[in-house]
Amino acid sequence: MMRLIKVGVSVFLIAQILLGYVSSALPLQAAVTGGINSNTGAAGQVPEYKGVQGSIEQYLCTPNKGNLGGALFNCITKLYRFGVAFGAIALVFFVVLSGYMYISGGEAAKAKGKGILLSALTGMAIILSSYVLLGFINPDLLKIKPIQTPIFRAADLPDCEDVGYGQNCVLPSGQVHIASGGVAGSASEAQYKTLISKYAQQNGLEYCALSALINKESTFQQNIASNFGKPGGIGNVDVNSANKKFYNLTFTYAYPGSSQIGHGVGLTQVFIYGPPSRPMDPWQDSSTPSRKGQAFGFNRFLTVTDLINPDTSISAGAYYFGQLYKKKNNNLLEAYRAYTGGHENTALRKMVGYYDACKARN
Amino acid sequence: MLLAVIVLAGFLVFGKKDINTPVEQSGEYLSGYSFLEEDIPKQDKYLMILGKNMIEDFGTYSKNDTRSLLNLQNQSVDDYKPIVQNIIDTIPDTKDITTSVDPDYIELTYQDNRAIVTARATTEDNVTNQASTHVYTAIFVKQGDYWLVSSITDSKK
Repeated sequence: MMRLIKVGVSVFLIAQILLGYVSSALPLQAAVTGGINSNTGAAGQVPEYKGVQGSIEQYLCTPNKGNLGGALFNCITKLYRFGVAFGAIALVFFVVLSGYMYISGGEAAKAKGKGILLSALTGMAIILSSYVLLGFINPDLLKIKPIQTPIFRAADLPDCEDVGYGQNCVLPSGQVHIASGGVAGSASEAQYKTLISKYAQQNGLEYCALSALINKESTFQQNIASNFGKPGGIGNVDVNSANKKFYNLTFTYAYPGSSQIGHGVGLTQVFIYGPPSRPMDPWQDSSTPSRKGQAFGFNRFLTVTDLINPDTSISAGAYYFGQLYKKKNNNLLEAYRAYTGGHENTALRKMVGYYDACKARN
Repeated sequence: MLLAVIVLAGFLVFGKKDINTPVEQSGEYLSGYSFLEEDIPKQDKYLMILGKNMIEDFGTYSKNDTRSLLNLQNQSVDDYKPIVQNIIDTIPDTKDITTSVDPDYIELTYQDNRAIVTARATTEDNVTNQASTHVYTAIFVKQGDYWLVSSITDSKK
């Protein structure tokens, strides 16, 4: 009995580590990788952690290459993740061990095996129950917030607010932003280079992958719309009339050959609201409000005004394209094909050409 | 055994990607064109693929979609922009063409401060379903940080 208690306590201690990690890692990852944010609708923006973490983490965690001064919560995250992995592997190990002892041993071994199995399962139950309990009390308890250390900063890097996201810089939170690079090929592209770098980074994309997509979709013109307000055609957006139509539900999705009106808007030509006329547009289905904007990392409908804003357009398009890229197992060609709807060979060829040109100058 | 578990857990943990790890630019070109794999200066590769893109943009447009021409215009010198604008403004309602360059027939030469890209391309009329072959010559000049189109001419072959 005492032995069982001892084992249980050990597992309990491990469980405390597992608990904090499992839930803290998830929101952290969601926030940083550009998941759906709250009412600001600003998907993909850098999370607003208060305080500065800097070189102090270097003394608490093993520095990782390419990460100039990891945050404290990164360190804790790693520790918890280690605990999770360790606990999970240990659980499997002990279950297998107990099973082996039960099958192959005598009465004493069977009893011992039962004890080990019970202890392991008890530990797992503690992990799950404490996670559920704390989450029920207050989900914020499961989130790890960084400690404010105003003294320390990442050395020798400018502030991102001063220089933009096109180069390595320090965010207001003290995190270090690593630029994904990108040399613009024209003045039109250069004016959006910072945003392209930022949202490419946040969505796991190369700069050139996103740049080429925007180049093809809009030639870096933010006020452009396709098939807007009239059958066929692409032209500048009249925001007032567009939004009026939007709210009056007069838009429908259009595809080549259709006589109906379509509505790709802005730098990334993200499609805005339309009725569920086609199964491939579930993200804009008005009958399912929970889906509004989610395909683009927003928890609300995106209006024309939103999408002619370069930041929103690139954020939305990058998020959507990033998701496609993951779905296509990081096959850029297939992701491009999916973004164009799968039926535009010319569009695909353009993207490939623009991408290769970008790679050649970077 | 316990040590092995710890080591394995360590691999699982520290093998993960960090939040701020930049997305590495792969060195691979998507098109797979042979001239991009040759051992030539990167600027030459850039000008050849840029020439291909600009020639294709020059010859790909319709009344309903002028984005290719707009892209060409964005990457042109000021003197050439009105010429492209004139093309945009005078597109007939029935015009719909697509141009694709033969990647095996692209040549780059330099002359004074200009880069000249010559390429063979096929233009398809999507209305009449007829195709024709052209040899295009795209001239680029360097202005500031950018290579800009100075002119594009074609001769039907």
